[in-house]
Amino acid sequence: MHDAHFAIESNRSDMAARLGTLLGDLRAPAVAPDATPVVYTVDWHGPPWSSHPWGVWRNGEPRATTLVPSAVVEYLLWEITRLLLEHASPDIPAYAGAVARNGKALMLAGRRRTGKSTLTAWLTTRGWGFLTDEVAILGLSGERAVVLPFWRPVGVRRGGPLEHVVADSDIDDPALVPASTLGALASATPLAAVVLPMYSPGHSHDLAPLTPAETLVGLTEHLPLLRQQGRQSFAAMVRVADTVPGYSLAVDDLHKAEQQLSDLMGSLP
Amino acid sequence: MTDLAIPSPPAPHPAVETAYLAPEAVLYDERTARVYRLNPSASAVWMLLDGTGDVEAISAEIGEIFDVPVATVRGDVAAAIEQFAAQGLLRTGDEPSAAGSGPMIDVPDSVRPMLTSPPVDGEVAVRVALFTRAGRAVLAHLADSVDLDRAHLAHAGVVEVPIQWCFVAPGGDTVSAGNLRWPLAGAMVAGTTDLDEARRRLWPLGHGNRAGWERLLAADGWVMTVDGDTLEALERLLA
Repeated sequence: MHDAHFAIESNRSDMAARLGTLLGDLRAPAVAPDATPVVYTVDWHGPPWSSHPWGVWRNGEPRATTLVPSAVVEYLLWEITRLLLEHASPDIPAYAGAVARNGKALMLAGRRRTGKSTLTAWLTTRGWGFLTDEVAILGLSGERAVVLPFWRPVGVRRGGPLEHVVADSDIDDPALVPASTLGALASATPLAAVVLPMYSPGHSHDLAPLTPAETLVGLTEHLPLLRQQGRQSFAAMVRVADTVPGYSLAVDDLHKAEQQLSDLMGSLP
Repeated sequence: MTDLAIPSPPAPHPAVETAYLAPEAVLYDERTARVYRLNPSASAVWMLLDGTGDVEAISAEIGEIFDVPVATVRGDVAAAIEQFAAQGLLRTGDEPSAAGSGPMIDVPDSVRPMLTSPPVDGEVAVRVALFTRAGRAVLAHLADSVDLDRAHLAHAGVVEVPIQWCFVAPGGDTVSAGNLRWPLAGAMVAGTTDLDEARRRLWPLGHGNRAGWERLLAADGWVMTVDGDTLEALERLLA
């Protein structure tokens, strides 16, 4: 995971096993053998009758110590995402899903409930390589922008279009599955297109091309570190918007969206 | 009209970065991390704010570019500038001036890709990755010097200028040097044979002629210089 790595320990073997399975995709070899990983401790520390018995510590520092059981994994994922963001510079993180096909990456940038995670997961089950469903790290040191992978678990809603994945899964948590459960994981891939999806029931449209200015604004709306990275971040997005085509996509039918995106990727160099 | 303190002549605040992605400008205010997308008309006004022309001068320039009477645009220009001021996007007079400060100008690193990115054959109009005021000034100089006729616009899609360059550290040491072919005027690319349309698209390059083109070539604390022979060749090409 980028140049940040971590370890997880727990005083409950069942939690340790569960996290080990769920976060297995995120295990990466240490960048430097002597690098010290960030250690997250996920401990049960409440009395048996407590409704908030779980806590998470980072390198011994308490981060959240009154978690209900159902919030433990989600909170830990937030901590891991934050770790990624801390180590992102000089690359640019964006709230976006990303998938790859034929050596080209497609970035799906959007806020929560715009359908980016569902679309990302759907595409992964249909043979696209999974890069991330939450935070895409854009590496801009070379001639082309590259999307770096962040293989965090994917949220899958029961009753949604991917319910069969949950049903087939032996993972305890029905809302989260390792990305590798859905399909292949993709490594760093050159960015070929930016798509701003919008879940729009009953209003499925074709891909609509965006102007570079629209793409730029759309990208900057999804940069968690825009303020901290300042002009560097903005300039990087200018470069992306000026060299990578952008589109909006109203998503209703996932099959149709997939076909449109397949056609798009096939037409891009 | 609100009672806003609008300095005359108006100029962008130094904390505001401009990206010109024809025909729209997108602004980034590093103080607030806010991003503004300007419509083409507001972009036209914004790109002319260089701290040297007042509302009247800017109106006259826009009138000339779009071939409309000054009286028609004066009110809109004033209103646009007032809106810029209301958003805190204009210099208030307390900041260090960037205009006319010589060749040592802070130009973001992102100018460099603009210099080296290859032209896109057949693509419509201008694609300039990022305009700073310094960049605009030099491109203006170049564009003013080029005969933007149909042949230029239609032939091969781009006019390129060979440039020898070197990076000189602030202390004066040459750090690196090389050659590049600069797609002139930020890649003036074909795609239209309508000269009026091309002119509108290219208009931000055509305003002013107040700075030497080498000012563009300042990037990120380094100064890019061009030797005399190359400059001479460039001027011959542009003549």
